[in-house]
Amino acid sequence: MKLKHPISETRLNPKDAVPKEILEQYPWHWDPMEPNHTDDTHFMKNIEFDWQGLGDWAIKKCNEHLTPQKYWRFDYEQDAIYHAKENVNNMPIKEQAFMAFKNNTHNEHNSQYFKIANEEFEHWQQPLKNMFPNLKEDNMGVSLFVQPPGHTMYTHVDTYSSFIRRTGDTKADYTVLRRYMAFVRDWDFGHFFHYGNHCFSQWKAGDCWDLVPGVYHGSANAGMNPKITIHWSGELKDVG
Amino acid sequence: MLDNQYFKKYLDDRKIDLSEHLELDKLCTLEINPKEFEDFANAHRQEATVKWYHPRPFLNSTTNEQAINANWVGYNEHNTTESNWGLDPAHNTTLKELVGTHNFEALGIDPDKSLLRLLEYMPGHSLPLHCDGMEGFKRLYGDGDATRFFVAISDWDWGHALQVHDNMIANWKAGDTYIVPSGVFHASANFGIAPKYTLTITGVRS
Repeated sequence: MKLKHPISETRLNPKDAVPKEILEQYPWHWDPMEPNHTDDTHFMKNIEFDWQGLGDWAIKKCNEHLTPQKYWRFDYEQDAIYHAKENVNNMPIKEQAFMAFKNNTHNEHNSQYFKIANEEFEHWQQPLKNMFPNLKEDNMGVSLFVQPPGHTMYTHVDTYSSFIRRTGDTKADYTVLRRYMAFVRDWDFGHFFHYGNHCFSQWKAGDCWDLVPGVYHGSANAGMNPKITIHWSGELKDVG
Repeated sequence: MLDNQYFKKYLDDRKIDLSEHLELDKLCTLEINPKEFEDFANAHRQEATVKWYHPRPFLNSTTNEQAINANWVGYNEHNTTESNWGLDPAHNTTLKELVGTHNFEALGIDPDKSLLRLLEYMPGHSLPLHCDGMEGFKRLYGDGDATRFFVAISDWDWGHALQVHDNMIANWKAGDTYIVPSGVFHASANFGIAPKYTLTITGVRS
């Protein structure tokens, strides 16, 4: 299978694609070989909840339509990056997505995931929102991702595109935004997640991490069970 | 959606239990020059064996059953493509020269009875959970008690990872070497933005 483009002869530097304000507000080491990092110190707690029930419910929801709603695709004719059917060239994720998809090998066939968000959570929504009272409730977003085997989420720094889309803000104020992530099921074969230089393993359902902005991270599923994570995004109440 | 009953049964039949810990430490760090291997890959790109994870007639039934199970849950040419070098005798000889006699001595294997494969996984591609059949080695040298070594060719980069049973292997330095024990299930992925280069060495330890 021939590549459609040459492999870059120089190292792509992901830092070059991250919005300048994130780099300024959240300085980070940006060195994969840095041993003296604190990337593994952002574990918050294990949240007690009916994760088994939520995970089973989520899989049933996915099975109702069987089609991952989300995937990434590069359109070479338009020189545009698409997140599902949305052209996101005007979003702050653009440059990072270009690095992963344009003249690279992430594509719509290996980046798919199911997404359940906000009111789609039905009776689960309010209890999930209640878990983070430090986030403003009116614009908090909760999203659950089911990553099937064979799919990856390319390494990136969060730029809060969904938050921007939901609030209608023209620009995100990264000084007040925060994202938390919890695993819905225990760690399984082939489930990969790295946050900076820390590669997760042995996680338990409910393990919750503070995904401090500005830290490069990504995930993959090379196993045989779906990997399920849940994410809270919003504005901190006590800042700004 | 995801009919993984066959894959799960395959593991259950073999009593593969992730809750049981496998002790796995780094064996050593070989003295290699990463650039030599990457230059080799680029110079011989047109001669690479390019494959994706699926059953093939020259693999054994166990390996093919694993591939069938993996394809059934969604692994295909779009997410498992691998380029490798080493099956061509000339490539294997060159790779052995790049590794060097001193490193073979460190591993305790005879270079003349070993098979090397330089693997390149591009971003977005994974090697699904599997255990090795070592068919390539057996075709050349018979059913010896072979050992499979994993050697990191480049320094670790974000999005590059290997899982060997319950061990997460990452943050490696070029040359870091692990034994992947026979019959132990493992998987790897590249969800970063740069190619992942690793070397497998298969040989009988003295």
